[in-house]
Amino acid sequence: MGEGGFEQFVAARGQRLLRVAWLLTGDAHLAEDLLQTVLAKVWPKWHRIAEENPEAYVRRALVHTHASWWRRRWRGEVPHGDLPDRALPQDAYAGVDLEQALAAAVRALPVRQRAVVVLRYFEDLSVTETAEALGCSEGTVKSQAAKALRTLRGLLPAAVTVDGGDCRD
Amino acid sequence: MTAVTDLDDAEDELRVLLERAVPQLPAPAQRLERVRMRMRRRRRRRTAAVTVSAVLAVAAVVAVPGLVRPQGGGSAPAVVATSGHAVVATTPAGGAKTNGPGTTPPSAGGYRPAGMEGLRLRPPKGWKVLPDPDTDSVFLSSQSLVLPEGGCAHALDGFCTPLARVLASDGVLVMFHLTQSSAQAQKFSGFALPLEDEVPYSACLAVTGTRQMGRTMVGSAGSGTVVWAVACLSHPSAAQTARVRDLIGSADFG
Repeated sequence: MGEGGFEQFVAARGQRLLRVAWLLTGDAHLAEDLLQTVLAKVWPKWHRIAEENPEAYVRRALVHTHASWWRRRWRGEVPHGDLPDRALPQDAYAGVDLEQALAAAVRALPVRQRAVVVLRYFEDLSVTETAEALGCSEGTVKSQAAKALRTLRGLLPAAVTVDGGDCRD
Repeated sequence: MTAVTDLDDAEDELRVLLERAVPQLPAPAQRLERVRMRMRRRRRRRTAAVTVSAVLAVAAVVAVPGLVRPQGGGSAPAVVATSGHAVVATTPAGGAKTNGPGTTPPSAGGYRPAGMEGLRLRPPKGWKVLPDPDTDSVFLSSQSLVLPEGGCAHALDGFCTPLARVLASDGVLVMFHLTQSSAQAQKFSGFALPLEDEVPYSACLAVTGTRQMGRTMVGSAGSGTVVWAVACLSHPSAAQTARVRDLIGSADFG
């Protein structure tokens, strides 16, 4: 698979990967930045990556690149909690509230727990696959996931609902 | 209901919540073109860094008497490069030597480290300079610099401290770290962020730093370049603090 394969991959999986990046960063601009940074790293090695599991590779790169950003300066940068003004139909506000609440909750998680949440619960990887992607033990994944769940339960407001039910119970 | 079932339920709830709440963000129209630009920039930086390292290494071999021992004599040369990254020294105050081996050419235009998107620095005389293209950083210090084994990629707090020894009293280490981030560049462009005192990081304290200052700078419009400058100082004198302020304050992309 050459450059064309890369473009097809980005066209097909870009949206999903951007959502992964959003969940890691909690911010739309940073998410696009993170994704572009990773794609620029991946592209030159595409011929090799494409023969294996490119999506898993890119996902792993997203998590690790985000962790390195976190270690550097940008963890001090807290994007503004409010979304910019934009025209929305009345019934769309519930979605925006949910998005804001989730972004704030995710940003409150330590970087490792955030990565576990993304891989385990958004990307639906198994404990083994998550441990492999993060380079840690399965026990660590389980404990980090449990802590993240506890934190998220505490942070997500009771008003946040899933299919009409309270997500806290 | 067992604890295991509760946990399973909570996990399932979270999966549903995430799927529903994580927004469907629009892809920018020129995403691939931007990725291509970033890739080219990375390549250019690496090529420039390799070229500069090679030139400095050759210059050092040719011009440092200690490195060329035609008759097998002479003392062992001082280490001038590690892992392909050259440590260069700025011209000492009053020194007549210019453009010597491993010496940063003093010029009115300042010193432009390789791979830093044209960042221009004016290092104080006698300071050491260590570019590290692997982490898009350049380090300056009043003391000797040497990259740690394994490089600077996984530095504590993102602040690498490639000092040969911990900071002496009045010693200073300054790092300029470049990041490509159009979001940050957009946010900070149009106004000059001041140099501010910061709570010293663990990385700074670990090398006996007692004071830390930092500043964020943005590259030319549309470049998406952001440079973070951080200085770690140990019991600095007023003169040393002024030198650091000058160094960081005068850094630009002019």
